Amino acid sequence: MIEVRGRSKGQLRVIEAVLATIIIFTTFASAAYLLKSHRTWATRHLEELEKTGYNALQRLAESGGLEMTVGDSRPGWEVHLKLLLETILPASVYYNLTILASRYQNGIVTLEDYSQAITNVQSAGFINSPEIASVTYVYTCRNAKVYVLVLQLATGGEAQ
Amino acid sequence: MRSRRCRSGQFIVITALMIGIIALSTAIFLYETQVYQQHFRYRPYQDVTIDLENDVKRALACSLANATITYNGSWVPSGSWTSFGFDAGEGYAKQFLQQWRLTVINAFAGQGVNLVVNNVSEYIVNMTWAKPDSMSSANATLTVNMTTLGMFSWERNVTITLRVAVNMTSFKSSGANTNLTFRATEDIQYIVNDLPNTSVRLSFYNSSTSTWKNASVLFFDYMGNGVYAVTFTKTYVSGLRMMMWVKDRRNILVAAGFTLP
Repeated sequence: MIEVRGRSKGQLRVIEAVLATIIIFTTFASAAYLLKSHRTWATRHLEELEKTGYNALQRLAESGGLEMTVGDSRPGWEVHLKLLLETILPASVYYNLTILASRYQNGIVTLEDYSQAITNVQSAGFINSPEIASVTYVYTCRNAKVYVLVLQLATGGEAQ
Repeated sequence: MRSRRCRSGQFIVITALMIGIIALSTAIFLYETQVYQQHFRYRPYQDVTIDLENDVKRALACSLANATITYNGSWVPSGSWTSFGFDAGEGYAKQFLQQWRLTVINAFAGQGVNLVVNNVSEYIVNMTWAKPDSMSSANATLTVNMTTLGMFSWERNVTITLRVAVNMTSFKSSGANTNLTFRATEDIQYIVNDLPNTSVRLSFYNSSTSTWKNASVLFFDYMGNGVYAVTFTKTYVSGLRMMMWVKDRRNILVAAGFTLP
């Protein structure tokens, strides 16, 4: 009788130990999960998008792409610029390029819309994206006109 | 007695498990610090300053191109080589750089950009023309502060040049025509290798009528290392005064002046 009692007590202790282990492990796992920063990937991704944006505009400027499109402003230049952008940017990235022209009058500079936004997303496409990178670039053409290019990049949204 | 032993055994097991878990967690934590690379927060000041440095070069080249065209337009074709008006070109260059500066400040308004391009009293453009070795140049010092990005007193001195050096030993008579060679360099050290046929124009001074007349360019060829060969329609006459205008792809103009040896 005593032996049976002792056995059942021993089994109980083992079960308790297992339960304690499970509780402690769950606590640690939960703590680790809660302490982990879940936005790290998004922040890094935003930085990568910013770098991609600067690189793309820099390449367009250095290769003469901006001079041939924005600078010359021949009919259909927006289509050519869109093609150039799509060649440079990764296929999975959605972009929205706004071009502003600088106007100087009486010592004051105003920035005016130069064209419609050059984009591969619908107007609400960026809203669905968790991170949107925005890059500003100044470009002076040979015809003595100064433009400000604002390139927004995202990896979410809806493509057309 | 048995119950006590059982309890102490339980305590040992739990303690051992806890130590094991703590050790394992610490190990996992240390492993993660190795796996996930720690890095500083990205600030795009480098990209912004690269853009500003490149664009101030473009703005200066544009200013210089317009200044040289204005300067050349003020040339009075007479026997004198120095009858150019300088102020119009300089005034245009200063105004254009002011526009560029204000545009940059507006564009980067959210980043607290403060930009200074030269002192007001300093000259931006300079034309040393009417010599066998002539040059058009523009120089500006750019100082940038970006308060929100934590960057202060970033400074660059930018120089844009187009230099044309006529080889005074290269003149050769070829019947009713004359040959010469010249070397073109830009931005102090780089050779110019993309001048088109239409980029060169020549004039000679007719002392009997006291007027400048154009000479047609018959042959224009790139010889390499920035050297170009030109053949023009004028019989070689020693002591003849000539002017040669060269315009590069940026529309910067240089007028070299020389007397045939």
